[in-house]
Amino acid sequence: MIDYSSTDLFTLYKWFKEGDERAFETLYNRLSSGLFNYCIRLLGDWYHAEDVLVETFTKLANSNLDERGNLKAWLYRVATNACYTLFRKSKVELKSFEQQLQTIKQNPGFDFTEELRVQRLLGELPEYQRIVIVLKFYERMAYQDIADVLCCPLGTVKSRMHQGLKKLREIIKDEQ
Amino acid sequence: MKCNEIENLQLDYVLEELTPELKIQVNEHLAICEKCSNEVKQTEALIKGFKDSERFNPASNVYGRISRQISVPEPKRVRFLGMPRSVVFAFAAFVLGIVITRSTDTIIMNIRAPSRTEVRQETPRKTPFSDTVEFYSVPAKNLARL
Repeated sequence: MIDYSSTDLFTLYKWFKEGDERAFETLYNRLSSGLFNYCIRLLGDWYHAEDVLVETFTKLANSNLDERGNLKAWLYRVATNACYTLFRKSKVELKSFEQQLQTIKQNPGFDFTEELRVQRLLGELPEYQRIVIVLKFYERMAYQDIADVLCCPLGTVKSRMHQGLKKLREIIKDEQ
Repeated sequence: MKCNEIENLQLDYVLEELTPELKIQVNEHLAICEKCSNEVKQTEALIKGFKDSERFNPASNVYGRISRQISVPEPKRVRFLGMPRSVVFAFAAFVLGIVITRSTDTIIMNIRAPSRTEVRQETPRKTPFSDTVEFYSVPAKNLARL
C-alpha cells in the first residue's frame, strides 16, 4: 500500500509522470488551497483565480521538471506570471469581488467586512509589493523561498516587504 | 540601537524571527521610543488582520477542469513497496542474470566432463602387412620385387 500523504512533492510528481493519476490528485489537494488563496489575494477575483489555478496545474502536468528544482516555488512562479498577464489585461474592482463572495459563499451569517478591508489594502499596493506580502503573510514562506518564486535576490524581497508594509501603515494612519 | 535600525528589524521582531540577542536590543529601544513602539503595534495589527482573514477553497469542479485538459502518461504499473519501476527492473534483471549464468555453467560442465566410470580400451592399430614386414625385415614397399 502506497502512502501518498507522507510522500514529498517531487516524488508525487515523478509518480504522476510514470502514469499514476492519484499522485497528481494528491499534489493538487496539497497545493491547490494555498495557490488559490494566493491568486485571490493578488487578483481580487474568484473566477480569475480559478482560471489561474487550472492553468498552473495544467502546465505542471505537461512539464518536465528537474529534480534539483523547487516544485512549490515553480508552481507559485507560474501562477504569478499568469496573474501578471491578468493584471495587464484588466483591473478588477473590489465591488465585483464582494458580489462574487456573496454568490459563492451563500452564507447569510458570513461577514465579509474584514475580508474586503484586507483586499482593499492589498489593492492599494503595486503588484510587486503585494506579491511579497501575500507570500509572506498568507503562505508563511521564508524570504529565500519568496526569492526563488520571484527569481530575484533576497535583498530585493526584503526591501519590497518593508516598502509595502510602510505604505500599508501610512494608508491605515490616513484612515484614522 | 537607532530608529532606522529598528525599522529594518521590526517585521522580523513581530514575526518572532529575531535572534534572542537582537530581540533584547529591540525591546530596550521600544521601551524608550514611543514612535517605534507605535509602528510595531501597527505592524502587529496589520499582520494579525492578514492572518485572521478567511481561507478560501476552490470549487470542487476545478479539478475536473484540470483533468480534462491533461493527458495522464501511459501507466507503468510495476511498483513494489513504493520503489521506482527502474529499481525493481534492475533487481529482477540481476537475479535473472545470476540464475541463467548458474544454470548454463552447470549444463556446460556436464557436457565437457568425462564420465568417471568409463574406461577406454585402446586396441593396437593394425597397418597392412605389418606382420609381414616384421617377418621379412624388409620394407613393405620392396616386397613386390621379391
